[in-house]
Amino acid sequence: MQVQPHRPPALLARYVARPDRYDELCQRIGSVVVLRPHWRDFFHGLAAMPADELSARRAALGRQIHENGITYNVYADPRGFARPWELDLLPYMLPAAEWAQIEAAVIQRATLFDRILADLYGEQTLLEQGLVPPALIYGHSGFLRPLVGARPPGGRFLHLYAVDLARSPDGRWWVVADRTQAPSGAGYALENRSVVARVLPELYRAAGVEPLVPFFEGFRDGLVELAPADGAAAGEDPLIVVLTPGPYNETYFEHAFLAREMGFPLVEGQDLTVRDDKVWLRTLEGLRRVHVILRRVDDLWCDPLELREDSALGVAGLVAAVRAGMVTVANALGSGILETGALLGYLPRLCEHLLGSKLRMPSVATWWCGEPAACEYALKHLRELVIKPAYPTLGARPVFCGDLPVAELDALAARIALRPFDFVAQEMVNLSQAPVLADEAGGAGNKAPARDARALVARNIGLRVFAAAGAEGFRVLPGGLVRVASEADMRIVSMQHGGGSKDAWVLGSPARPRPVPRIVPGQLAPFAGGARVLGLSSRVAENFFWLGRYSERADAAARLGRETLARLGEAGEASWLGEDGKVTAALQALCRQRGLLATVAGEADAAPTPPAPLAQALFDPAQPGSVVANLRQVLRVAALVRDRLSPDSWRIYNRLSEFAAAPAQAPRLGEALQRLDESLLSLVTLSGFVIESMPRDAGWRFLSIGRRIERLQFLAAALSALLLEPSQGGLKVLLAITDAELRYRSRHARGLAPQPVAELVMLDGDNPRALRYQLDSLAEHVALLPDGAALAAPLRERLAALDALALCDCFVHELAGARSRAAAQARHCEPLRQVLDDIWRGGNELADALARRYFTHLDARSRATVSL
Amino acid sequence: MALYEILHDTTYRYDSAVALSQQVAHLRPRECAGQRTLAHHLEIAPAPARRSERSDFFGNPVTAFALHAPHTELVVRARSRIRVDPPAWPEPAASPPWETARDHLRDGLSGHAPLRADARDAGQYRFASPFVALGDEAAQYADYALASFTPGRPVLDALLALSARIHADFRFDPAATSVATPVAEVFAARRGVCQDFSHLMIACLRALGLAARYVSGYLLTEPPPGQPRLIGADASHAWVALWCPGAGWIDIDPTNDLQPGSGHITLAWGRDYGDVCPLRGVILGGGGHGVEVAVTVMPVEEGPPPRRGGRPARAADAPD
Repeated sequence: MQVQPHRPPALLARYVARPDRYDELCQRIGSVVVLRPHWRDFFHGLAAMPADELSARRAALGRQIHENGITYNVYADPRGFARPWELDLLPYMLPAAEWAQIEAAVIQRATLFDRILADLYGEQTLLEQGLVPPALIYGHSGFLRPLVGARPPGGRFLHLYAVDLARSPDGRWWVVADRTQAPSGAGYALENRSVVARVLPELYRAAGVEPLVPFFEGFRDGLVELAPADGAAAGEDPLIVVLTPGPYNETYFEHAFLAREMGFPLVEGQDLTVRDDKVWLRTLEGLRRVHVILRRVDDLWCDPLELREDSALGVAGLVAAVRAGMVTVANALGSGILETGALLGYLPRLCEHLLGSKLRMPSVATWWCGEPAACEYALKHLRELVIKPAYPTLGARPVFCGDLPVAELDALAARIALRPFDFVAQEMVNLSQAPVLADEAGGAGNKAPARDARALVARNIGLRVFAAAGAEGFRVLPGGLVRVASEADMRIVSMQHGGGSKDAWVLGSPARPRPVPRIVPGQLAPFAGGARVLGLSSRVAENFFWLGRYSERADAAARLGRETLARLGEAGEASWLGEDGKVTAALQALCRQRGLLATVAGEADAAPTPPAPLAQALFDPAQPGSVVANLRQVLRVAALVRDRLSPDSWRIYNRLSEFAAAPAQAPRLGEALQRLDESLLSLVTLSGFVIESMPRDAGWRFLSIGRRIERLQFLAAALSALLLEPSQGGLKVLLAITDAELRYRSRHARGLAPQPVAELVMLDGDNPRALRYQLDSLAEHVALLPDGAALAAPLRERLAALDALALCDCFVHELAGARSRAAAQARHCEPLRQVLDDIWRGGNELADALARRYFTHLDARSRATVSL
Repeated sequence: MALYEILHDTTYRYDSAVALSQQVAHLRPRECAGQRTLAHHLEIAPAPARRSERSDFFGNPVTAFALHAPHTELVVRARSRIRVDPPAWPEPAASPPWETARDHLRDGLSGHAPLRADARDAGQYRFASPFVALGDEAAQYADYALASFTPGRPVLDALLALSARIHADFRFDPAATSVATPVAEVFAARRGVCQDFSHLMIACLRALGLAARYVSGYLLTEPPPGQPRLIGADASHAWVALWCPGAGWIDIDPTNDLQPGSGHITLAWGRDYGDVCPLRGVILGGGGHGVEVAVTVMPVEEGPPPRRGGRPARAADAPD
């Protein structure tokens, strides 16, 4: 069936509204197919856009996703671990009146589930009265027995609830699945909104879309309210943290995003500890009481002491703290029990019993085979049904029975008959379809628009809606996350299965005051509780420290590589001759020492490496000190502190990822030099940005300390290599590495001499690349850390030693005979060598001392023990 | 009647200092039919910063404690004085057909029929649990058990028969398994220790739709004739209890193929070992560690020595 009127051919040429599915865009009236009214304005706006404009918008959307670093981790994805988020330019649209019904149904359902949880972990009257078959609870691995009888603060079990909805061909909405454990997607929905609203500002504004931000503010207020009563001192906000399993989780982006948006610290299990049944955050200043944990760790993994003992993600003692009422966990531990299709059939009865009202939105027809009559029905109609495990631990995937060969179908029927409790049979739902922008040839971001750049195609969709508990009950996020099947007619809409997403617009209703459209939803109103927690967690401090070290190490590698490469390239073989040869050898040795070049056993450092292998090694990710290897470390660590990086700085990090890829083929000399220049430029942009815009908090301090230590050590090594036996070439390199050439020339008109160069690169207190500056700055930073004075003292001693050094005695000026001159030089510069060695060691000592005092020790993670 | 003094010492030695240690102990014997705790003392060294007592979900006494000061050794010594009056087990032949127990649970748990309070408790032990996985492997346990659980056979009769077969088919071999060995491996290798045989038997019974629980406890062992009782030479023991409508929980020790009598002292019960592990902890630091457990069961009374075990299981229907 093709759409007839209102048909700008370019847009709808390929769009097929199928009669066996509900079409979100078009409807049939009599014999004609027309656009649904709530789509018209948007559609005409879209149709009015020239093709290249639409392409440009789409490219802008792709760019935003890349720059905001929106990712979704898909295990075993060929495109890499962190896959860019897939978002369609076209929003999904719902008229206000229809939304109001969905909203009411979702509120009712969230309220119902909260009450069911309260009963299951409390009186258990529902089991006694047979309203919930006990088998559904007792057989479910998510029934956490240590939590039975634990009443959370305010009696609230469910704080954030999500529900997957589908629309059947007759236009009715059905619940397909409930998410009560730790629902994901709300953060992505907010990110989707911010991107789409920015890319389609005029259409967004014209539609009067309900804003999303108030929902998150309400959710936050709800968490504050439900903090344990003994919590924060009067007038203070409680400390709320987001507990994540870590960066390898599929929705880690969202954990970091929500933490940042809501102003809560993002923590991992090892950041928390339980003492005296209270939960504490390990920070630089010591332990800070945690009142509320918004968890994204599944509850079974939350406490190795009382739940899964093999969990490294949890907090030992958390269950006891919950039982003692000393911490609010959202959602309550044990809430995953409701994530079973087996429960769906009992909800109408439960709703009437607990809420005294009819269930507003039906669930997809579901039969739990544990009921004899249901089992009989399911076995009789198996071919039309989807079979799912009743208990999540069984881990089986849904089976579309219609697809099975007869033998397998029979085997499945036998399994169901043998263990009926374990199975749920569900009706298949014909998902509705919505328009998406067809793929352009070459994908999004391609500059040349393809012929059908404006074609819409139909894809199956599902809508995930979110509700959050607030002071006055549940509130629903107006809109939600629309998931789009990756191919036409695909039955599963899932991110793990390669699907995409859409922003969902709830259109303003004339009945409600039209919200003021905000193009950039932006930050939530600031949260005092977040600002008060300046105390950085130890793990975050350590990550910032390494972020500083790796970015500086990448910078040093690029500079050293550039000098060495340029030298080999300019002079070729000649660079290994005479005095020049010594400099080349010294540079090469330095490259080896810093892991830029592999150390070849049995080969003398002086053996010349030709430029090509060096150029290759600089970008070899397997070479531990290479530019690429260090940039990868920078990106890895940056991801770990992502919640603490502003969107702008995250964009700069993202740009670095271009240089963190290994080149497809060995770069030629010119290419290598250019690439080094570009990498350096990005790194300098980044550090400039850090100086300019990072708040001067403990995170910034550790980042700065990491950078200074790294630069200090690089300089000490470079000076030892090039200054102790000074040569024209070596001095030139030193000036280049420290960016001091201009300054030297402005001060000294005549050629290079060891002493003035040494003064400039070592003692110039104004040059942030000179040695003295590093020591000075380190001493200053370290002194400002909690209990930092003791750490600063050794730095100040070394500063004094450096200042006391009589440089004029270190260099031999005029002596006849090269050999005697070298011997004299070695003798003269001995004090210099000692000072440099000592400074280098000082860097290591400081790093060790910081680790001992401030960081979470990786070798001191919690471990479980058992005895017989 | 028998009176015992039970010593259960656990010593952890760590290679480097443990900064924080949180422990949950199931070391205080629970009171139950036929068993009274006359005295109990739990000594922890070094002294914990915090210690608390409670009951767990299954009604077992639990001691939780935490050490906040660095230490390289942790010693937990439990001393209990227990009186055991072994219950009289019902006559196996008089018990209901095993299908009655299965159906009563099935109908009650599925909401199809009202569930008696005692059956509701039994329902906790009817399903898979962390140490007793019952996915696709359930079928092989059911097959194995069905050789004893023939149609209409009285449930306790069938239970004793299953115990005899496990005793005959499986070899006691402490080297074959560890705490973490899954039941499926034990089933395939046909060897293990009391914990494995108990888990296996539980898997068989649950695969049939029956409720079976894991009992952790102690067993009186007799020193070789003419030799004194060695302190610490005993070990913790484990056995199984099956729920039987009308009769309640019936204990069975598949490792020794007998029904527990006055020589079995119950410590705790749960769905499997994981629920009743004597000492479970999480430590921060410590490097490597070693653990030593010494258990001694000493009869206190003078007079006739307590019988070891109750009625011996009948060997009448050995597997064929």
